[in-house]
Amino acid sequence: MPTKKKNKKTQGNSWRSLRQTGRNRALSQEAIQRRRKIALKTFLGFLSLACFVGIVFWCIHIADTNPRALQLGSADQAVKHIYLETDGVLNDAWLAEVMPIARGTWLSHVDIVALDRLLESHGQVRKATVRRVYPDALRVTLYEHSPVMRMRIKSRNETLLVSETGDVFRSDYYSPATVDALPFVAGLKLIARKDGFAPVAGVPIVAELLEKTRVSMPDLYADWLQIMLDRFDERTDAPWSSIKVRTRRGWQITFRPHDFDQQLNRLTSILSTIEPERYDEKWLIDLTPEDRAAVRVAGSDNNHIPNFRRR
Amino acid sequence: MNRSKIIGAIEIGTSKVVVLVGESSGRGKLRIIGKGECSSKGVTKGEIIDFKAASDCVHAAIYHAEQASGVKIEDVYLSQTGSHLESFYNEGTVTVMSADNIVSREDVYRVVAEAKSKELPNNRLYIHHIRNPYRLDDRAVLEPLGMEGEKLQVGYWCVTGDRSKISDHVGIINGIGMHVGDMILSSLASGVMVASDEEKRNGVLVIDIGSGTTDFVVYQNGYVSACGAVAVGGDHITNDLSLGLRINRKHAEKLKIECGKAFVDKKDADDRVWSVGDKAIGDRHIPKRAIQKIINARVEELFTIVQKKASEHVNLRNLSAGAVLTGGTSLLDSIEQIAANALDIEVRRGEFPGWIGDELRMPQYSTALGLFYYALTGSERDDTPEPSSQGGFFKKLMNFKI
Repeated sequence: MPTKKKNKKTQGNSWRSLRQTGRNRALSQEAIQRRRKIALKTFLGFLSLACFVGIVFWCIHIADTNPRALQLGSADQAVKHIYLETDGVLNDAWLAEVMPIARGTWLSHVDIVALDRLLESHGQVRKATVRRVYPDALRVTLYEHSPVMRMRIKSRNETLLVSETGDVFRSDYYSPATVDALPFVAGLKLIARKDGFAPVAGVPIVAELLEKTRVSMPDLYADWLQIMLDRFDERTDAPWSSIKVRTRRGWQITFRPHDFDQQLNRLTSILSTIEPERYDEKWLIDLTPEDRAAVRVAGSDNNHIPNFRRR
Repeated sequence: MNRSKIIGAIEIGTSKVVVLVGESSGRGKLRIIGKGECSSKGVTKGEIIDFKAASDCVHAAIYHAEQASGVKIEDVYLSQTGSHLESFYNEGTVTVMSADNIVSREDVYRVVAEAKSKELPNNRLYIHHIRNPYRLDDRAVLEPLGMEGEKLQVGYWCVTGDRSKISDHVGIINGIGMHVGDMILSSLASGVMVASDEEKRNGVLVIDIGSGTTDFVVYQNGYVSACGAVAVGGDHITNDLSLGLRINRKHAEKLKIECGKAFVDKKDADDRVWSVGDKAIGDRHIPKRAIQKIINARVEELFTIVQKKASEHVNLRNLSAGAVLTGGTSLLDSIEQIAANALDIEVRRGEFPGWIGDELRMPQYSTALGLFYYALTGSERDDTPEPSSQGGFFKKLMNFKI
């Protein structure tokens, strides 16, 4: 609309179109003093704002790391509920046993960092996170280790489980079927600690063998009864180091602590050459030599099956 | 929510700078809470000739006013005078668009825009657009919206000033970190204080005689029909006395105030006064008659110029309420008689409304006080109505371009 444009042009001709900056002009003493005051006020304003923001962040940090230092007023109540979320088998009873919270404890007084540490000190717990749910609840999230082997402690008459990372824990919360499906382990050196046992070094190597066997040869894995680690050294380059496996049929298979894929392939080939009617014999299969495998029947001096060259 | 606002009314005059501080309650009420005054420097005939000197005195006056009131000024209303000011009347005419000849907001918007559309040279700026009544088919109407007619007209009395001189005034205020909220012509500010609404309807000429300039405004039918400024004021009388009596300006100013009269009084024919007053060497007797003659000549000349300039726009004899004098120089004895003779209309001295305190009931404060009127009413702000929106939401949506 042309009239609109004209009107805008007229506005441009108004004294209001002047830029009111006051820059590049001679200044009186009053003006200089006033400007200094304004600059000082602005600086102090920014400083106050920065301090305020800093204090807020500091309070948040304190509340996060040391909740006792900051009580959140009326939003806070005594802990009434504890919700447990886990990817494993631990349950509320276990939680109540290991994480006792006194009756009437204020939610903001709960040291959740200490609780995290307490829960993670338990061998079965891989990671624990405790969160406050205002006004009166805690939410505990657990990530548990998966057991790969079991071991029987005769002196204490209990069965312990060993995870893929070497953590050792009790089998109380697992079903008997789950526990029975795990191979026993022998020759593991346990180091007792105040809250259980220290993680056992080298177990991840054994766990790798078990996992690869379980995936590629599930029938054979199901037959494995005992893992013997008497001659096992976690240093994979140790020439004498080996992992012995005893099956339910009475076979004994010896592995090098590395190159498991190659050894399992060779084992598959060996098994394919054994006639089914001879399965009940006590076969001793040694896969530790790199270029061949020694296969013989227990009590026999001669190898029954010719050596196999490396594939 | 009504929040009080601290307003500063600033008049940068040739002889003095006046700063008044008022607290507006936001409900159309204002309380004057402080005053600052300072002798002017760097200002001649209402125009700034030494920015630094003018800044110093204006800022000092602002500082004193703020100290006296104990508050900080938030918004500044600044008076403007000087011979650089010019004014003209511009009229817009449109044909009512609707088929039923009912005036819509669009029509009002168009006619206002048309009346304000005159382009100015680059060195000029608009200070005011003072609206005169609307005329619908040549009959005056207050508010044409919704009325029936074919031709809508409106006239604006436009006041313009020199860009650099206005910028200097604004720059002084900006220099102390303040923002000029509005700029008002000195004569308009004085006019609203000393002329009543009835006088404005009947027709009145308000003359504000300052030190360096004389501002005038003519009201007819309640609207401004002419205004202007003359670069002659009280300082010229002082200057004439100084030259004519061969005394310095300081003593000339003293004689003007103490025994000055705008007419030659026969009673004072034989009276004499001391030129300095200390009766020391150099002090001498001066006949009062000589003083009065000089003053009379200059005052007559001043009103003759005003009469001539105002008559370019209006016939002064039609102003049934006559003329009202204000400004510091209007205190001159019998000045209204000389004005009446020169203008050929009735003349009286301006009187202030009752709510003005005794301390401020002086003609030299009329401009600064008048600025508060505009701060409260804002009547000189842009009154251009916004056109009604074209179509509804869907029309806007259709017109939307990515």
